[in-house]
Amino acid sequence: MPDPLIVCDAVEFSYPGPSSPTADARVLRGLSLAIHPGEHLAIIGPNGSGKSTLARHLNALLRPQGGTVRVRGMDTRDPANVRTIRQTVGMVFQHPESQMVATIVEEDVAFGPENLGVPHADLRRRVREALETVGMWEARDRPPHLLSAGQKQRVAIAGVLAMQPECVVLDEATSMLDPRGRAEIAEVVRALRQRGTAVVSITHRMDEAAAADRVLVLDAGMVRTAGTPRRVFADPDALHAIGLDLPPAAALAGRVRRRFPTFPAGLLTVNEIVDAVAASLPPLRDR
Amino acid sequence: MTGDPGAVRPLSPAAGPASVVIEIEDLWHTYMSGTPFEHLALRGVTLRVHDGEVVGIIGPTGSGKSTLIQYFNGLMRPARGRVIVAGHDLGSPRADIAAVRRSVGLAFQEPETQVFERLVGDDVAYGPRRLRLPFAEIRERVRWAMETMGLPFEAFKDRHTFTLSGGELRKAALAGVLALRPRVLVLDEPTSGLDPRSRDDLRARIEELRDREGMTLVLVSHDMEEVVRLSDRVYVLHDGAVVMSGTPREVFGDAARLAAVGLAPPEAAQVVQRLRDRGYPVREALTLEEAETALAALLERRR
Repeated sequence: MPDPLIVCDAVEFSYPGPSSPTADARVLRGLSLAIHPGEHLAIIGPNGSGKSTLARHLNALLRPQGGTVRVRGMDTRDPANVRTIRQTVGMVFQHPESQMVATIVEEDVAFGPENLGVPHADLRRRVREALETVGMWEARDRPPHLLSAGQKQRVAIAGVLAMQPECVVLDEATSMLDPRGRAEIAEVVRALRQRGTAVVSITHRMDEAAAADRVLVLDAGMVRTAGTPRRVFADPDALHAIGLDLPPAAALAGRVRRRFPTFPAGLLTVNEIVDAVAASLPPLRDR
Repeated sequence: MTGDPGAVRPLSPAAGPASVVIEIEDLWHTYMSGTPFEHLALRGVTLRVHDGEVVGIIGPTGSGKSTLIQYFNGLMRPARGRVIVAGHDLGSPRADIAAVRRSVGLAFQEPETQVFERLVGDDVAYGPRRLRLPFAEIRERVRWAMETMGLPFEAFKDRHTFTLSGGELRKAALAGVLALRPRVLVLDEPTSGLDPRSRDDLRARIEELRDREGMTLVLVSHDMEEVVRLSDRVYVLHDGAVVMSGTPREVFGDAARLAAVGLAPPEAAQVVQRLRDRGYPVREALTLEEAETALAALLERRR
């Protein structure tokens, strides 16, 4: 396996504010994890488990108070590294409006690399490539505020891509989107994976997590479990204990399996269940 | 599916036709009229909400849902079309808008961002205080609203709002709207951004509002599981028009038309529909429980 892209080692963090001497105010409590180049990692966990705080550590928006976060070996606590780290790891938040600056899509996407002093020809190429990756090149002349929420979020992702990062962190980037908007972002994530860009999705939607290469379950500022979606969702009781759930299709598969122990385990998607049901029935006769 | 989206059966034959509390007829809305950015947000919407029913409104972003619900409590007044809320004609310049606002409580998306008091009890009491109700009644309403939302009054009234979890804060914000004792409660994406446990808990509270209090609810949501579980009737909005309406079973049973507007039935229903499409003799199903029973019956046959 190649060297990890991001390594969090025993990270501790608490927000400033009044602290009570008894309660443990740490949001991250000795959290360790590695993110590999090109992988799609989903991070799930109940509200308050530290997901967004962790996300902000991945590109030095926050710095650990204990332990270390290294991006390509660079320590996020060293101010000299911050600029390179933010180019390596880009962030997209829940509300795309919060990171839009220009009145035209193309200019908005150009804003980041322009500030890096990228030469004009290179800049145009980067912007085009970024907008094509998210399927928004045709809309390049439009004002962002007239786009749908899913389209705005795609433009926000393009703005990050124009920085040519090795990793894109989506912090609940789909939570305000409609089903089509969510499908659009899922498509973009697949495109990023194909380019070899790592994606970290932080999400409350278990069906989204099921589409990742690896799922990491966060609880009370620590990693509870990590593994393939099939492995993590194979233990519904452990998930329920911390207030999480199965993807809806997986819940149905689990119920069917409880009635028919020979029904295959570990099914996560609608297609997998349909195929499994069909496979366990005699072939349909032609009508 | 009926041709006239407004035509609905009475809720229960014994009760006779339920009275209509919100009636919208051929409503049009244009944003930035007369500018190059002119945009038709509503194109002839007709819908009705009856006392005691839960009406789900679904549709892609930009389909006009948020514009529409702003008419429900008089935040907008019709320039073209008819809006009658609790007997008040919003098209009339003499309409009693204050009475309309008391009748319809609007809980916007992420209502917790509007929580501003230091103590939970004070925040929930803000609305009733503005109504200048007697102290005892304010207290009673706050107690009822908090308990209904699952925030025990004694335990939570003196809690600092910033110590609440995301789910608790959302419930406190909704209790603030509920404390106004509206005839209709409009919930815009009530569970978005909540983790599964807080989401299920809040849905159970909404279900109780429906079943125990018989409250009239309008639910705007992108979550089809939620719409199926809570709604008696569903309207589908697309490009500012009602394109489908009916019971959840009728609307979600037509997967092809839903897909055309970028929506899909809940995953459990999709499994059953795909098997039916392939020709397997499986009973139609909408919820997780129904899908389980239907698949079990199908798999039973192989024995």
